[in-house]
Amino acid sequence: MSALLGVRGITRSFYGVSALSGVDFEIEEGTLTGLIGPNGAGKSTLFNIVSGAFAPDRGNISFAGEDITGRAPRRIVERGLVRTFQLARGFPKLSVFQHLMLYGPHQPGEHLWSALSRGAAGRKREAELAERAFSIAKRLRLDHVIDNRVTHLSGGQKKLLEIGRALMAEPRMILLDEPMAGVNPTLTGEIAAHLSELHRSGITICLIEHDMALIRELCDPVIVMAEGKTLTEGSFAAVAADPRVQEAYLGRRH
Amino acid sequence: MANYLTFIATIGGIYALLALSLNLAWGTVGLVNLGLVGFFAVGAYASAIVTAIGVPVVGGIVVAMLAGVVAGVIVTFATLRLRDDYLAIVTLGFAEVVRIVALNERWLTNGADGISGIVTPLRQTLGGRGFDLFYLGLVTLIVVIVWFALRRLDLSPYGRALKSVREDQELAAFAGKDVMRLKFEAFALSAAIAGLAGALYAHFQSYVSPDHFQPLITIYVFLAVTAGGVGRPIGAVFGAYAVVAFMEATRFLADLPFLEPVQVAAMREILIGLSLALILLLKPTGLLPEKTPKATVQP
Repeated sequence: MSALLGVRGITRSFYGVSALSGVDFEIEEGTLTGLIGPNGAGKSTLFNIVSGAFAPDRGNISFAGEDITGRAPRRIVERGLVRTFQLARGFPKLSVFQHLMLYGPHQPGEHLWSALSRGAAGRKREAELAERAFSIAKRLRLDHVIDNRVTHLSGGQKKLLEIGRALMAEPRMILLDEPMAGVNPTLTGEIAAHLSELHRSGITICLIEHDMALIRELCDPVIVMAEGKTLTEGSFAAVAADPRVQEAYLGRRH
Repeated sequence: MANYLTFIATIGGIYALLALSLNLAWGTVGLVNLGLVGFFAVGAYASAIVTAIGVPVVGGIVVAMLAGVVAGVIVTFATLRLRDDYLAIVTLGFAEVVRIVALNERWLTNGADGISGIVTPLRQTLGGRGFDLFYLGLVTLIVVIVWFALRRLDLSPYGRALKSVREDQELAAFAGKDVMRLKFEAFALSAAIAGLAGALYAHFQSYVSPDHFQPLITIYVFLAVTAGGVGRPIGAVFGAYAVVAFMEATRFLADLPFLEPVQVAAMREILIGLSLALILLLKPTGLLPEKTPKATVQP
């Protein structure tokens, strides 16, 4: 098997303070990889670099055999690498349905002339996307709030919509930044079930999460980051037994 | 009285075009254009100048729209990549530059005296009264066409993408949208509509001078869009006609016996400000607020 996502020697500092000082790992296609580490380890910064929010100082990122280092976010999305955000973000005045539709790729109706002339290709694509949007909304049990503006959703529904949007983009791989943070235990279980289902359907997933029980249940392998570096990787049991990992989480013994 | 109403309705139509232009740039894609009047002026002068050297009025209108686009490209070229407030500052400066250039480049614009005797299409054939009615019909027809086209854009996947840029441009990029292209196109189209409004104004008044293009016009159009409903084309049109009707209606304050003319002028400004404040208090999203389209399988 070849790696779908390759992260090599990534460093990045902000105003002289180093956030990442050498991140290296590979993610195989078809895995559900957990990315863990104490607060401030640089996990979200790494996601920002991989998804194109900003470029690394050094190092490179490859996706599906192609160098995507420093590419614009939409170029990376086009290749099938989609991300979600830790604090569910949205477009306040757009409805759930519009959010889903917006993430649908290859919509010729997003070009000025096609929109003015109501071209057939755009309308056909819109109908296809609408059907997908409805089925995703149903699967995530968002169908009863589909016409609501996102500002009128509960915290949990916002998290589900993050996942739904990512799915609309027809992703090959999804980067999920703490999809379960701040939601109630029932919904956590529900989101976990959605993630394993997506994984079974063939989508590669990389998950940042702090809930260790969930990581143990869902993820293999697990990559551990600490202080801006990759520390180790392996099965959950292996990394949990690693004294360096315990040290990173609990502090050094003196 | 009928003549006066025809005049007001025509000016209302021209303001409606300006409001549609602003609603596209500011209300839909989120680009604050504080120099709308500059694009209006560019269109007016462009058409006045080229029709003076023999280009037919239709050609003048096309040139005015192109001039609006060129001006829009120049203004946005350097600023679209920067934060949005820079665009607001640059457009504000742009409108003043246009006015000052028009004031000083006498060889082109005839300076403070302005350009008079601008071609008024079919005036000879139709006579004064006939021309006024014809022109009202023409402007109204153009408002309807532009409104229809912009409404279509608003409801299309393109409009959805524009609104996502307005709401959160960074997130729109993560949704796979070409944010720069969308902003650029929307601003250029908006500038073309302002240019069109300028040309229609010039051929209606038959006279333009730098005095006609005061920054206050931009403020009135912002007022129209805000009162009508930001982000909804019909709201902009409605707001524009309402603002023009209101401004004209307050002229009759002059007949009140207990006010000096200076006080009347000040009263008008106060009333316009008050009414906007009132609308925003009672209906913060405008009289015809932006709607969220319902989910449907068949677009």
